[in-house]
Amino acid sequence: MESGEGQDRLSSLPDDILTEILSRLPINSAVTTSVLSHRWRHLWTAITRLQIEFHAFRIPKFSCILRHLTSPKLDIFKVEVSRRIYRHEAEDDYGLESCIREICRRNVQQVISNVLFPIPDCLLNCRSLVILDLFGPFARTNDAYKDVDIQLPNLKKLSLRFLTYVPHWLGSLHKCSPLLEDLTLTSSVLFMQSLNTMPSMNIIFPNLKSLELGLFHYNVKQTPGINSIISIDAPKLANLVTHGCVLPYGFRTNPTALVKACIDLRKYELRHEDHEVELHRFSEFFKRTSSVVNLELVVMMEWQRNIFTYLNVNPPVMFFNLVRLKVTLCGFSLNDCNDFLVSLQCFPSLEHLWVMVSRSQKEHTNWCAPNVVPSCLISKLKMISITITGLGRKYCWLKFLRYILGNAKVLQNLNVCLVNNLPERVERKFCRSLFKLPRSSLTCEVVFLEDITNRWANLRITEDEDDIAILEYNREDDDIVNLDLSLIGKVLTMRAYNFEAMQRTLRQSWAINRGVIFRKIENGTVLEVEKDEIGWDRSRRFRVMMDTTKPIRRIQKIRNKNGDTAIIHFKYERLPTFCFVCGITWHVEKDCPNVDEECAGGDKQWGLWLRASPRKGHSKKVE
Amino acid sequence: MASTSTSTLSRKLILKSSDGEKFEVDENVAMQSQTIKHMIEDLDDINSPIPVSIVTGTILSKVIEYCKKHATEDSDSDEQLKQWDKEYANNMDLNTLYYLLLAANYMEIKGLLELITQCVADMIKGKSPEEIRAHFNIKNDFTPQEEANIRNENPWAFEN
Repeated sequence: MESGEGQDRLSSLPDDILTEILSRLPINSAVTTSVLSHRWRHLWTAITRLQIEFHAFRIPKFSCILRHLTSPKLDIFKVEVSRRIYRHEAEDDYGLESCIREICRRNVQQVISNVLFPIPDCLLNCRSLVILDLFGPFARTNDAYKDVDIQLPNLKKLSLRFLTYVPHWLGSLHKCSPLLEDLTLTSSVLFMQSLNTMPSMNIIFPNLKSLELGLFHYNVKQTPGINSIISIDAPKLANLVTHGCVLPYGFRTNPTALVKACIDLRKYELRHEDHEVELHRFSEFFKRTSSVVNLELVVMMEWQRNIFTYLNVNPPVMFFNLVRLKVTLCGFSLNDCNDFLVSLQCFPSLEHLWVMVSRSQKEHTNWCAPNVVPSCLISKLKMISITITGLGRKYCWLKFLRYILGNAKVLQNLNVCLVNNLPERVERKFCRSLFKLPRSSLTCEVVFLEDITNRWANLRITEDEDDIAILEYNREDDDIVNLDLSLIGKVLTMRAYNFEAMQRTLRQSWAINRGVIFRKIENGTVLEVEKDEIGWDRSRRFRVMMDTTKPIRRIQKIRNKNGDTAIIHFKYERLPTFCFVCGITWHVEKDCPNVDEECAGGDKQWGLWLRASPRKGHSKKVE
Repeated sequence: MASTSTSTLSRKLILKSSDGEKFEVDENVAMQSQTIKHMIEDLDDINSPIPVSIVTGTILSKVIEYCKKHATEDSDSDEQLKQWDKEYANNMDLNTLYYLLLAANYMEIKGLLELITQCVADMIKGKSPEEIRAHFNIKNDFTPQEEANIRNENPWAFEN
């Protein structure tokens, strides 16, 4: 970046603009500018925001900093310290308490802090406050705030995290903060308050748009009675997030404006004895969120297996607006997923579905597809993404995928990702079978994603790949050169075949007439890839000569005229069988002549990640 | 309600830069500038050009680009808008940023002023005094002794 002819235009800007710039800096950066020049000597003292970000260095007394600041109005007070500091030095409050008293006198609008310290009660009657975002605990004893007269008429956002108990004053918040739009209450693991001693709380806010509740991570000691402890009445609520047990929460009125909900039940343990009651209460709560467009659910198996069956009760709760659903199923076996599949009936408009399954230990080989096929699967679902962690050796999940592909008539994308280091042979077999599954949607693209992070880490570069290709010219009109090479087709065989017939078949099945040249090659050493005039993908094709006696190229270093070097990763469509040990096509590792030498080196250097999925339809095997 | 909103949408204003360049913009685009908003209130003839006296045509066109993007609230999500803002600011050289700062300050466009001040603040953040001086061509007019004294006032700020 050039600054015009070496002039110092910044210093010539008016004071109020410079102060505005300095106000956006953490305090130590702002103070740094005092030595720049005389012009900057005292500018920082007029800042209107105090942002203290300390990670590694010594923390000054906050009151010392504050003493310098001349502005009668401080809009923002923000303390962000690294966790390491707040933990062992939490006892020494750096004058934080007296600092906050002073800040309140200067009409602070936002107080944001991640320091664990008792909040002085002056904050609770700071009338100018708009945002209060703090980490608990909020007092040393339970009744410290008993006599506080809370006065927060302008409060729009309140976030209290790491609560060790629900402070008493929260019970009357709705009376004093009618403008509240955003409320977050989450507890620390030390949260011990029993429901009996908790103030019954009314979340009655006419303007509330966003609500995050995470007070009961695991469960509550007793199932609450008919009257919920925390009753919610927020007609404008658009965004809801809950963590843990939701039983103590209840909606007094339906939140009809709700657009997005995330219900995370990961740590929540269902208690055995009143299973039914709890599940019933859960579905009562869940029903109320039925206006959402986006829903995220995190469910753990074992105790909660029936959550999805509760969605399937008669009459089922219908989520007519739901378009995007993200589900995390922890410890689910394939058969456990059936209830989930059936529950998709409740989401007739669903278009995008993400499923993350971490598989249960006990896996059944026999899976029977549910009797009903959810209507959204048949007529709405466009994108399904399935991530399976800990896939067993048995391929029962293929049956599940067969069910999906066989029923989804308008599906455009199915992404399947396997996490966990499976033997490559297993993965390869899975992938091959996956591509072969019949698809009832002709335009469906299936993408298989491996967990490739480990592979990249161990990648060694071959000599060929280490060569740098010099790009001779950069065409100006061709700025965005997409260098993804793409192999369109390749027939490698030693057997006799009908070249004409193959060419005809390929032209038909790919529906192309130009842009591709078929050429008969002796000895299978060269193949032809053309510049992309078909436009079937975002990638551009280049003419490539490929020597099949050499390993498949995984990367290419390139250098342009200016000497910038970059590495390009290749993926190949319709790559034939190739050896994961030496990277040469047309044999697999069991036939590999190089196997002894290379295997001593450990990890295989080539893999399925080189393979791009076939574009559409069933893959045609040409041999 | 509907009729008033369509009529305000269709109204056009002409802004005239300091070097005489004229820009025709929708009223709701121009109204993001508090200064222009106040000017219009005092104006009898809406069709005469509104002078934006200290802003050149080059800068004014950039300001209008920003205001146009932010006038149509519903078209983009907040995230997309933020991304647009980021690219908008990143594409400016320092000189343009200075003039934009002055223009946003004069025209009282809160969002633009926030965006550009944050952009300049990000350039200062985490840099040593020497690096800041080099980046912005600021001439150090302190003697070494004076500079040492100032550093000693708040030594914690200089420990990096």
